[in-house]
Amino acid sequence: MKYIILLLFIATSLMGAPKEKQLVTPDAALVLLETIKDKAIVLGSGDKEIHSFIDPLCRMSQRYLTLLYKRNKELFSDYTIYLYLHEIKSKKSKKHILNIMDAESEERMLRAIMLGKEEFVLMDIEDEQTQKSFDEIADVAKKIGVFKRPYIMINGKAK
Amino acid sequence: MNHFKNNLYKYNRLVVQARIAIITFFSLIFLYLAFNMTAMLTHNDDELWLQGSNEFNRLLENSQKQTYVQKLRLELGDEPFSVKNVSNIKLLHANLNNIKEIVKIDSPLTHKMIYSSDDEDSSVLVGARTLYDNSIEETITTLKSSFEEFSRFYSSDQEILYIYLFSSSPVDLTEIYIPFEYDVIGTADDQDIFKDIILFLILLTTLFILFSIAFRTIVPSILGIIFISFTTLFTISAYQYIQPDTPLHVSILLVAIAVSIMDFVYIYYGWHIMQVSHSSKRSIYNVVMKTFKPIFWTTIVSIIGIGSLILQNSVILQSIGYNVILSSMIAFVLSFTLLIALLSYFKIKDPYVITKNSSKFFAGLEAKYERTFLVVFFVITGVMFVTSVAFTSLNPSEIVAKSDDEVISLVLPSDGLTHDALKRLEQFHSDIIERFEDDITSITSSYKYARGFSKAYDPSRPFEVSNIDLDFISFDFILYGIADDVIRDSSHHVTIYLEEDSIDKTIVLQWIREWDNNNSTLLDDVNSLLSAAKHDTVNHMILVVLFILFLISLVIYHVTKEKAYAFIALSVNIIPLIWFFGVLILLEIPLSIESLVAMLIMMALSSDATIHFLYYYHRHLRPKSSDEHSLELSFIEVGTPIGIGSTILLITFLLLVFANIPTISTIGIYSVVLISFSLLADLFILPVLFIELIRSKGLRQRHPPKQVL
Repeated sequence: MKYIILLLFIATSLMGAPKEKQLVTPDAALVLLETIKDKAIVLGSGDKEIHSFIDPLCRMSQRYLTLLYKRNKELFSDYTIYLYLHEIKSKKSKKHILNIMDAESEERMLRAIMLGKEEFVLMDIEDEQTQKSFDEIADVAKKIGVFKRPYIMINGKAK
Repeated sequence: MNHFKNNLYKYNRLVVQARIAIITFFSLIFLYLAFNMTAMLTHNDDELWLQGSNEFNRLLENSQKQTYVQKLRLELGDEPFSVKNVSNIKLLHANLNNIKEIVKIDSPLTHKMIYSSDDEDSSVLVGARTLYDNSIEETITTLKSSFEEFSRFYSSDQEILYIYLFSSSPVDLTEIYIPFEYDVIGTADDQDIFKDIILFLILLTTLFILFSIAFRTIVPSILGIIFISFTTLFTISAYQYIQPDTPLHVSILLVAIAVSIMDFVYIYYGWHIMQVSHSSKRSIYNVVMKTFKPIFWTTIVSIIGIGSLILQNSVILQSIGYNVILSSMIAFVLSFTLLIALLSYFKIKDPYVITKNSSKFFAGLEAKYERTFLVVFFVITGVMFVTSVAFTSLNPSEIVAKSDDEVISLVLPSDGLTHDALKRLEQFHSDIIERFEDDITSITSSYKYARGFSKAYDPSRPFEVSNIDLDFISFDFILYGIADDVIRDSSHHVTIYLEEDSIDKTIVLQWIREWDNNNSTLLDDVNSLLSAAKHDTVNHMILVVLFILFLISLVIYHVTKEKAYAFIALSVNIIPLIWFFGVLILLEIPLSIESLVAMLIMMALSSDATIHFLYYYHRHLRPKSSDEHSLELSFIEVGTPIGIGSTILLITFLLLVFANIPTISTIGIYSVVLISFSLLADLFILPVLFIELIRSKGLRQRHPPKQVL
């Protein structure tokens, strides 16, 4: 019985403990991000880089994307924004993510799914390359310690 | 003296002989100027105040622009959060957004709230939001549930909503539909030629009627209107020639007319009553003889005294100075050319002397005055003077110009969003809240938002400016549209909202100006700039008032060679000011630029009265004549025109109170009070002081009239 109580205590302590913003140093994070840059959806062409992990079905990610487009004039000239699609398990959004990544115009599909401005049809994506990209992003996210969406990073540091 | 008389006699003959040429000459000039008149009068003196103002110049030197802030006061009724009210607020925003000059609207719908949304596991966003895009139902719910966040926009009973409009130039809100009963605070009247015409029609009609009543003939009314019209048009045109790019404020023109109108009254009145015993032509010569020197000296006092304002940096003070100089000179020239030429065409049969009996009555009363009353009066006035000085010394901020609006907008020049700039802002927040804790409802700045975001990101971490991640804050400021509000051209913009009906904004402004040791904080909203400019001007105006007092004393001393007379002149001119200050302090009315303009009007009239009265009284001092007789003659010859002139101006200014132009109305009220005090002092205190002096020093024997002037 006491083991069960001890186990419960450890579990609740771990769950209640404040989450670390990131598990790696900013420099290490930048190295890791560099490996998945080509898998990102890129908005803007400014000098400063913003790296954001988002889930297409996460409401906060959707709000974030709405704001990015709302302020596109100011933001897209100053910043280059890399959007990495990374699933929140509970959202079960993998199919949506694969559809975006596999789309001819990733950005258009992203907007259709996340902002609901256009009709879209989800298909079963079995493309290996797409699946690989999905996994690579998930792997980097895990190493960095991405624990929320949107997870926004500037200069290798998380918000 | 004989040489002077001879020259004046020759001059008088020349004017009468050449009267057709003189009248034609001035009439042609008048017609030419009237048909080529392009000068505009303005009721909105904001731009005039700003030009030459130190604060405004500093703003321009730092490549910043002024902002116009207007506070809309909307009546919501007893259901402030009804669907209708919220829908109308949204409609109002839509209408306001169509005005391109409006750069920012601060209202419950645009108010930014920093939040940390945590929908569920792993879906978290720290951000700033407004109610602007929310549905009506969502807006109502949020306003009710988080009212504290929006309370600064509402009156305590929630029936009044305040919306703040920031614009790049003045905005005329009558052009848009505002679906509420509303007032606008912080706006000024714009140019309106219709108002000007009405105002001058009121003035001229009043003068016409009053002249007719005072003299029981239409002659002075016609001549008075001609004289005033010529003086006014010539003054406006001359001013336009000297200062082509500066519009003329109506109140300044009023000061100029008030200064010059008395010349007409003295000359006409003297000519009018002299026809009791002389022919019209002889009367003209006599009146020129009697009035030339006093009018010359009063003109000098006005030109040097009030005219000294042209040496100030402030454009509006220069404007007053130029106009008084021009109107005084023009009135002097016209008095002894055009007016004399016109008078030579008229003759008054059985001239009516309105104060013939009252002059004798008052002279009799004052000649036998009780010294105790005089002493008591001076003691009371002295106590009032000491009280005024003590009050002003103890509460210096209480005497400054009052400002109605409750917003202050500042610029802190900086290198953008840096830790140093945020630390400076933190210090400013801390200091101003410590000093005006109960008077400030809110301060908007980059520090406020940076602090809000930092706390929302990491609530457990104690906030320190040095820990703020500037990269994230900069990104957030753009993402949530905050940067435009608080940082422009690398400078930080701070907006301070004051509690309604709390501390006078001017006191906070002065504190801000003194807070910054480096003198780098800039006021950028026009109302605050105006308050600062007026505050700085008050000191100059007080100096001018004191200078005029000194000048009057100097002229009187020059005329009489008697220090005691100079002292009397000084006392008689100070007494109305002391009583006026007493009234202001008693009624808790702060000293404003309007009251100082009224003081200048009063000083101009009072100096006229003092110099004329003294000159005549001195002339009528004869070794064998009684005090009563000398006083009676002075009352008839000078007291009456002083009374008539002051009464006419008093009624005119009283009418201006109802002119529905705030600045003019306020000047009207103050002028009425000051002219009343001045008239009482001139008619009751001045003669009594002369008699007192003469009795105590035996001046009658020492200075026979021949030595005067």
